[in-house]
Amino acid sequence: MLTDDELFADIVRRKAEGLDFRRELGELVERWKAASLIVVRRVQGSSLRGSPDDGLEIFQDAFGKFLTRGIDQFRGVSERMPGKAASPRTFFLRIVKHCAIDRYRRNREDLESGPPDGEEEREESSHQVARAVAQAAAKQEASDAHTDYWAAFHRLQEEHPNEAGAWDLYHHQDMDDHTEVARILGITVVNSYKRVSRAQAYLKLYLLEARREEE
Amino acid sequence: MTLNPNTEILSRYRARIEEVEALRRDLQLQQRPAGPAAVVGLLLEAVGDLLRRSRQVPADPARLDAALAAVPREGLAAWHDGLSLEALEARVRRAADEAVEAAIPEGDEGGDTWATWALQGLMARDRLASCLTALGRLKALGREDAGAFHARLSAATAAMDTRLSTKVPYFTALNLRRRAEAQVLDDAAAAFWFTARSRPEDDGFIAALGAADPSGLSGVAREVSELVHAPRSRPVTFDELFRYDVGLATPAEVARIEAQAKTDPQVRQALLAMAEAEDAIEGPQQPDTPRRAAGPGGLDGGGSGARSGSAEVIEDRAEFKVLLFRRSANVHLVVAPRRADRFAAAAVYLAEAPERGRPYQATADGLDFALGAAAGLAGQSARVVVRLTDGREVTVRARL
Repeated sequence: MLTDDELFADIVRRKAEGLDFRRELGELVERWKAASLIVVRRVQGSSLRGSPDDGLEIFQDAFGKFLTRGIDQFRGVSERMPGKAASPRTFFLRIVKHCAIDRYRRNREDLESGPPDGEEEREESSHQVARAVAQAAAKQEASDAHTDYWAAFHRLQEEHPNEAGAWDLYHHQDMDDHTEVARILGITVVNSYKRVSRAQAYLKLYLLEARREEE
Repeated sequence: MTLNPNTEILSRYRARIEEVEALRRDLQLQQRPAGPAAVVGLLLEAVGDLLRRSRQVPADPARLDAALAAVPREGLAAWHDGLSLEALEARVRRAADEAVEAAIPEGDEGGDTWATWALQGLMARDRLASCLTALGRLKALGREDAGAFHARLSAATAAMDTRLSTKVPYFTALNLRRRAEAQVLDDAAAAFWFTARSRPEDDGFIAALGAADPSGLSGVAREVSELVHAPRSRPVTFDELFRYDVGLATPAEVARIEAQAKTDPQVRQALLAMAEAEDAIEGPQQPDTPRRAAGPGGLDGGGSGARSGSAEVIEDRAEFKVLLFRRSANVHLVVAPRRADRFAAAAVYLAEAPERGRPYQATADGLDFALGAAAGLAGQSARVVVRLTDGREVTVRARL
């Protein structure tokens, strides 16, 4: 039987040659399933969330990520930090760790946006119903606008990453300070100002395009 | 001498008259080894340019028709088959971004260069319009093949223009040049790439979008501006946390995550979970991590700031821990790596010798720095500098 490292080397070779490597990768990560479930339980303990049934789902999620980009990412880490990179097993278990963390972060957000506990149904007057409907519509509109904004920002990240990076620091991190943005990004203050300005223009143009396409 | 922009444009199109003659001769000689497709395309553009600007740049219609009559059937078909509307659409989209760069350039001198490039994209679209006009004229001269190509190309162009219409606001950055080109056209309204939103009041639109103050905007533009500038923070993503964990995060990402951890309990919890689950990954069967053994007084000395008979935890991070052991005979600082792939080196300095690192021993628990007798260190602090494999340095102060 091949060792983990030998099997992983075979997978990398097959991938480079354009051969199907999913079966071999499945065989490899199956060896790490027990350790993966331990990692998931540890995250659950830290997050005070989750159930025993989650483990296999998270394991499958991690396998999918390892399959689609984990191998290239692992090689990137190895090349960037020769001699310091973790083993493929450790790298995969970190993916499992992050899949679990991400799952319970998202669950926390969903719970936090839900209705308050203890709310009881009671009879409403037609005026109150109309007001509730209007409030719900306003909330939905705000939620849609929020979604539209982040869609525009993700597009900015893909098409103009320099501008997105500057905007992210300046606006999402509330830095509001071109000197600090310039220092972190290693650019001049004037560059920071221009990148933020272009980011603002692009974001608004994307939103205008999206609204035009909806018409 | 600086030419009036319109003079320069008119000169450019007047030159097309001679160009048409040269291209007609070229086609009639049929001497191109690669075939006539390229020459056919250039001829259609030149003739179409003149047909669309007949008032300002009059050309003899008979000579234009004679030039069109020289277009061979197979050459026309080859030109049509080689035409890529996808490439043209991509060029015009690129021109839209170049226009934004022209309006908000990196340096003051760069704006003109970006504007020139952007206009070339719009000119490419205009040349297609000229080709269509020339094809229409060729069809009117009795060429059925031209009629078929004209119909197909017109439909595909109309669909492309519908998609590109959302890019019109971008082009406002080029309005001065667009108006100059539009003035020369017989039917400017048909050339939306030159005329849509090209009024002087539209000229500053991109600059206004790039500003934080929305007072220069109205209607939908003002609404989206307010949406963009509304205060919000972006949640740290899976990919960012993962890159941070494996040491691939950019300085901006690191700054963002660590800043957000101070104010967002979710991010703080995520970092804590990262550290706690790491212990489960680096189990005793993992050969690439430092083996944990009971050190002087034990390394698992409680939470941050805990004072026990063994160790005081000075710093507890995903990559390393710093522990302080106090005994009357000797005070130790131990820097214990938690992640062999993230930890590079550490040094400890006392205030009395801020440039000279303290000696240390590498032990199973980490780097053990002996600081001296407790009596001699009263009231002092030690500076611990840890270098991580991504080049960052973390400084921790320990009160002794």
